[in-house]
Amino acid sequence: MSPIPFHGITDDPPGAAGFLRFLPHVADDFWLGAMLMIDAAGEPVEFTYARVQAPSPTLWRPEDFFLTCVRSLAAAIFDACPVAPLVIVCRADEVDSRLFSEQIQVETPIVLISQEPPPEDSELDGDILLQWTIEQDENSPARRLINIIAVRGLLLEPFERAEIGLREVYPDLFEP
Amino acid sequence: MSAVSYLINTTAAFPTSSGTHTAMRSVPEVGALQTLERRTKTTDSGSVSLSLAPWQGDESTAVPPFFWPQNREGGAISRNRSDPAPEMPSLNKRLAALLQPPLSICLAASGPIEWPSELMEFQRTGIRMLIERPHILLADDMGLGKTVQAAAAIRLLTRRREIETTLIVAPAGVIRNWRAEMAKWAPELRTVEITGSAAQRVWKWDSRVHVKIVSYETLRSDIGRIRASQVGWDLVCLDEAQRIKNKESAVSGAVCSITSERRWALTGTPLENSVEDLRSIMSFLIPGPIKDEDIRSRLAEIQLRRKKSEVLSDLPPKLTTVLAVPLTKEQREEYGGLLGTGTALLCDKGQDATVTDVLALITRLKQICNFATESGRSSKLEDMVRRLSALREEGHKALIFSQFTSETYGVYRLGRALARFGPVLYTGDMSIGQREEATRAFRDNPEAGVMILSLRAGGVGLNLQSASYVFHFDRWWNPASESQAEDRSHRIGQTRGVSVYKYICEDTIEERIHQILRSKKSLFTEYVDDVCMDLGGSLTEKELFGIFNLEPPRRQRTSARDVSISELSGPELDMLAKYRLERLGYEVEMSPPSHGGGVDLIARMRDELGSEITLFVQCRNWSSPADVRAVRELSDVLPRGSRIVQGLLVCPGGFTADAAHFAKDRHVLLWGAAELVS
Repeated sequence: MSPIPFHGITDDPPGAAGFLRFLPHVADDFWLGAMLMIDAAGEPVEFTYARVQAPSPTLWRPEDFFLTCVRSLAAAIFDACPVAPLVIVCRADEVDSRLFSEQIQVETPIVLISQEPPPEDSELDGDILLQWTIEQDENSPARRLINIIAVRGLLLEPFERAEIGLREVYPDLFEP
Repeated sequence: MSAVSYLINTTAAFPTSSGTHTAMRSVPEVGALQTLERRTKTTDSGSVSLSLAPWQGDESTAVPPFFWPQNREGGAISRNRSDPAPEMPSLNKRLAALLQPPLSICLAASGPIEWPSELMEFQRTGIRMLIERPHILLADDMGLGKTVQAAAAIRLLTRRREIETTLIVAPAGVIRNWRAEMAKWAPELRTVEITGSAAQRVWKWDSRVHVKIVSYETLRSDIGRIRASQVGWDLVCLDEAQRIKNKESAVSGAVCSITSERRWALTGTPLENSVEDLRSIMSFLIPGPIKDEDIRSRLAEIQLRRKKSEVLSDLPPKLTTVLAVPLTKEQREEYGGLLGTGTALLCDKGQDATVTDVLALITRLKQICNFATESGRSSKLEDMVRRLSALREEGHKALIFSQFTSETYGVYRLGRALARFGPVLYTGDMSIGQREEATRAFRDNPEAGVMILSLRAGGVGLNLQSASYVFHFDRWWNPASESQAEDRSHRIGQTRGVSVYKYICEDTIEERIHQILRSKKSLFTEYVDDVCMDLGGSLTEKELFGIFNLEPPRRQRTSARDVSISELSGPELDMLAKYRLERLGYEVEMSPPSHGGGVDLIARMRDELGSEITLFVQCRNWSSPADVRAVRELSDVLPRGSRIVQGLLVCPGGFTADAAHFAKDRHVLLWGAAELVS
């Protein structure tokens, strides 16, 4: 609650959602990560990025290797990010759920997004499933923000923008 | 301290093979995985803040950095336009542009940007092209929304930080419209019209806003100052770009001398036929010499042109645009004089002033809004001639409606002024034979480009589907009559894509009444479409006198609105019902007094197919709801099985639910107090 009560010109909830994107195994075994924060209108607010160079995974258990790389990137991004989002959004197929349950404890609510395959012969996209790491009340700021972002078709698209941003920051790693 | 609070679990299992702690390293030296305990802050990570910063009034910025990315400290990044342009924009700026939401989402009706109405598919295509191409000639047919597309594209480009400063150059008559469209389609952008005295214009040129709108003439006058100020423009948009078709003209020279990264030219006039016309516009869009033989191929590269017939399926049946034009100097002087004397006369009359006096003054003022009496100058006419010229080149025909027929202010005056468009006149004083001849001539003669009709005569019984453009030279303020008139062109054979233009003069009674009625219309249209909005019936006495800042005299009771409907006597109720039906286009005859028994009124109207519809009307001046018996009584006098004879029961006290249900199945319409006063 703001100490100075106010109403904006729109009903958009304040705050931003951070879309966390990881790109494993880019050239020379670089792992890249970025968090694109957008507001309810989809406007970019903050873009934080990091990279690590992974060793040969030979001696690692595959699940540990993956988790450790992602954890390293997440920590680096959280460290560098100057503002906190209301909610962090991750792709369930990119982030092992253990990352936030066993490896990193984040106070910010996190929502994992997965998209079900569409029914056969359907031109519609599959349903999008949301899994909150911390249960959110329907009227909580984080939930309201995610709801409006979803209505505006912005639930999956910002991950693509985050990758575009990474390609711009590290162009050398993406050159053929 | 990180803004995102987190803890890392240091007890996580890790491979114990040697060297593991150094096996993963950042570039350079992230070190996060060397050991978790020795985790050091990564140096190969970064953050770009893309906050929308409020304008701080930083003097070092040439424009408000409203959408300008901030640096990490939160201060606005300054940009001094005298600095040499960097070869490559900063990473901040590149990211700010790249990370914007995609156009497809921004342009979607359900997307994050609120548009005042849904954009049509061809308009979305146009906006995309305006955004993606730095130089473009948008030459859509008139009525397809070039201004809307440009305004929406300016909004998106500014939001995406691809532009900061825009200069729109337009004919003086449409500057106000541009301002209105910008306010509607790009409400968050600050816009200023460069008008007024030289001193005012200096101040306006220096103001830090997103969009400046200037007329061609003012631009020519001020070009020296613009050049001297070295203000840079990201986008220059020419509306009605055919204004610079003469390359040697001062206006053309002034426009072409302004530098900008993006250049748009909008025109509804086809240009393919004249290489000379094209040359000047092309030289604005693509600086540098162009060989004659290359002009057409270059045109094909940069022109986006959609004809109305090509996008017909996208178009709604009717697209209405209100055109606000300023009075000419002569009109303004005459208008001011009449307004002063007319208002003084009303004041002098005091308690004797009537609504009729007010309506008479309004009518005189409206006539001057059409034409200056002595000189015949007319800003509406000047704007319309420009539009008709564009339509003529495309082979389109247009209907022009006026409430007046006179030689000085109405249809006949317009007929003389528009002689070069082959006008066909259609007025109430013409015989049936003459009217049929006029209709035939307009339909069959390709030289007949416009038909000029008096609103009352042309509003009924005419099918003119060969015209897809309709102009209301003046307003009758009766949507029922206006739409009836417009329907002449799209009712049969042309069910989509009629463009309707309605003129009002700025800062006049026309604008004032338009505003009052617009605010009321939404209420009316909620439950009935073709509601009467004649001034005498739709504005209260207080509102009518209020137009001239006068108080209505007391004890006046000339408007139905001022009367309690339930207090009406039987004959008064009959008269009110008759008045309402006539407003809806019926011819009404009153039957002899029946003392509550039979039919009070018989109303007749021909529908579009020529069939006559008859209403038997019974009026009950009851203050309590009418029941089934009243409906049955009327139903019993209707011819059985007839579809063209219906009953209308009028009762200010309303109707019981049973009565409403009963009436539904028996071709009986019901009017309560709401229908009578709306």
